[in-house]
Amino acid sequence: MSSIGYTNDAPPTVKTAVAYALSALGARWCDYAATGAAPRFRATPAALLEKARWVEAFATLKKEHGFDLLLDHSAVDYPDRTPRFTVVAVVENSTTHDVLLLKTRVADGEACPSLTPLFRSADWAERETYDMFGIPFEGHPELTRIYMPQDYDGWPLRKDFPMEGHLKFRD
Amino acid sequence: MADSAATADVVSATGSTEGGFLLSTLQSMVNWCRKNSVWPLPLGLSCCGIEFMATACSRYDMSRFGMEVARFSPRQADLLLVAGTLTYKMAQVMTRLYDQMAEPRWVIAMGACASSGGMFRSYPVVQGIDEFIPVDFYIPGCPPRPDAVLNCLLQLQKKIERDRSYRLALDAGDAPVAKGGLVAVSGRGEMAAPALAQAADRYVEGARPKAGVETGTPPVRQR
Amino acid sequence: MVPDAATKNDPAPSPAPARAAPPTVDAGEIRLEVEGEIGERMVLNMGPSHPSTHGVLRIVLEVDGERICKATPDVGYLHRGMEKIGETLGYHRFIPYTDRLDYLAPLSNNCAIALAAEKVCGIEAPPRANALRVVVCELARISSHLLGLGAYSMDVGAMTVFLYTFTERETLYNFFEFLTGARFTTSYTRVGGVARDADAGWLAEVRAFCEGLPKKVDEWEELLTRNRIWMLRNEGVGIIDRATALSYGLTGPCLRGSGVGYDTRKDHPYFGYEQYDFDVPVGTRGDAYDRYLVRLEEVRQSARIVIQAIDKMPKGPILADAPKFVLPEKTRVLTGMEELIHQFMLITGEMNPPKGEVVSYIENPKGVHGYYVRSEGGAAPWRLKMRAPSFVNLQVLKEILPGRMLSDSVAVLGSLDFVMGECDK
Repeated sequence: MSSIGYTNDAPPTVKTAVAYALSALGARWCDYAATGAAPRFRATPAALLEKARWVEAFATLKKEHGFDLLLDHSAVDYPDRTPRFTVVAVVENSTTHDVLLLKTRVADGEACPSLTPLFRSADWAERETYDMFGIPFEGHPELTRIYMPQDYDGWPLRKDFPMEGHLKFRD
Repeated sequence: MADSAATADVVSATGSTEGGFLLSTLQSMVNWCRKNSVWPLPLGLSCCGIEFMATACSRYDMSRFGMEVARFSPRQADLLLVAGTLTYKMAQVMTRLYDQMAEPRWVIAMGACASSGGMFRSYPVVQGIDEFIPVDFYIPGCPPRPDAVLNCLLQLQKKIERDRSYRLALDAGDAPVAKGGLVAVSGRGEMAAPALAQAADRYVEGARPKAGVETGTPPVRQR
Repeated sequence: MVPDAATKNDPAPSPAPARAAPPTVDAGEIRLEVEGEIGERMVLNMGPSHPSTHGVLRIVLEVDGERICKATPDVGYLHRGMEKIGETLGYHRFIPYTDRLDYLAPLSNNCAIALAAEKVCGIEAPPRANALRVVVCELARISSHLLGLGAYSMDVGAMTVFLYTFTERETLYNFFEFLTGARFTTSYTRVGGVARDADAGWLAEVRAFCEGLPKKVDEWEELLTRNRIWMLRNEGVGIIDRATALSYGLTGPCLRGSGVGYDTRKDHPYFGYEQYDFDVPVGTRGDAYDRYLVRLEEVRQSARIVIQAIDKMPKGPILADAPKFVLPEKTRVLTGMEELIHQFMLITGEMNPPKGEVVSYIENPKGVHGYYVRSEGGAAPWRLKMRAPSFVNLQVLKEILPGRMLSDSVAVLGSLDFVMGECDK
């Protein structure tokens, strides 16, 4: 189903304490060796988490391991998979400069827990993900569209949305 | 009067020692004033706005043509210079700005995006601002060089010089009126039927709506 | 509290009359709930067509007299669907679109997408291409900071600096045009290298420009840095402390102005930045004045890097030797059979990079810019998520504007130095 292999062993670049903490939360680590790419070009360690422990993992990373910079937050759409969306987030420790890529899977229409209590930058980032994919975020203070008009119909970055949009007058 | 083009139908009588006086039609005087003090409203939407700033700066120096007074209030502006990519979300704002401008007013679509959507043929992008407002000049380029912008502004001056709106307005007994542009854009990007003024109401040359708009049908782009 | 007539006639009067719904003010699409009595407050709509918003940012301000009570930034007026375009067109064909992201530093954006695509394909650009990328990235940083400084000072009321910086920018535009053929829609990089080689004369001229640049920066500093009006307008305005800056995910000069010495060029070196000697300026107070000083110092440091990169410029090819991913040189396409086939295959979408995901960031003038790319094979990425530093940096407005005077908002906007093309994607 997935084109990336997963393993229970953390990549050697991840610090032992971080690897232990995430593995204790049920994380599985991405193994790019299965995809045939040279590992030095896939240098960012990535872990797949359970949705229920999504916020917990970030809280642990932030409070105990110093990952205080939420660099990026988005989602990936796989129309053929059963949990349709993968939510991804990139966090960095601003002191040691370790970078982690964390992922979780969300079904269509299902809410994903919001990271806004931990990172204030998650506010707009989650609004953007909502705007583009239609993934609601549970606990977000103001979940409205950010790029498209409020009454816009459709989720542009889903794979079934046409690139030119659906404009009646151009038909 | 130094400007040779404006003095085409101006009779100068400066031979008198009592000081010179001029004979001209009111319209050519008005046009001469108008063309040398075009105040642009630079609607700098994206990259083209930066080239417009370069045009206004010292190397290209737009103020040589009386156009350096960029006004960000539409009520003080004569020229709407749409520089950049127009999205449907922004189109409402642009039509509102256009509606607030007083006649006579001119519109320049600067760059490929404003003229035709350019390289962005995607869901939020308007494929040319002429879907919403009438355009006098299109400047090609992505973005156009400042030279091209200057050339367009000189062409605009020539156009203003030929303008007969003042004469026509006097004949008609009232000033030209605008009845507003297109305003309604729904979230799906659908446009309501345009509410433009009738062609006869629009005296300004070039501000005439396109053929499809005059009849009240939405402008359908042929692809 | 005296109950009004409507409450008296109510058949089942409640002990305390239900508090009326808070008054709302309709400001276009954003509905603001005004806390308590609306009183003297009013709602001011700033933008999207406003000279100091540098594009199409809209801020709905709730003001009490001259004082801002609440600020709600509204973005998206320039959303062009860049990510969707990238996912449809593919790595090679997306490069020209990156020019239009941060249109003040297009060369830097070109380098970002090229680096991300190279990581996906698992190739590396040759040393000369990397050195050229360093040169153009730093020139782009200078160009962007010059415009940022010029527009900032013009908004605050110092028009002269704008004219000075734009004169230097015209010189830079001439360099860009000579190298790439366009003033700022450059499309200079390719996956695996750069499009054109720089000749020795161009490098010598750029070097001479960069040697003269610090002196010009000193001139501008004389106009501004100890200028009493400039200091009064900027000192203590828009203070972002260290914790707030990190929590909002700020990057670039905005984060460094707040005292965090975070710079991707130092912390995650790319393009061989580790070989160059440069300093990362860091502010102390995190106000607009600090951000201005950080930017000026970055201009000087960038000039330093360019000089070093030109002096150390290695010789060799400018494109990686990986015909399955890298477009061949045009002259060889027109003469060689094999190159013609590769070009045809790459352009028609016969490109098959390994599957997987890549996080690739570089230090743009505005902050950390880069991509999360998910590849499922094929010429186009399955997901191309762009990190836009302006988008992230703008969020902090709602934190630092309230409590300030209305005229300070212009200084704050100028000191954040955002660009909407990148913010809205």
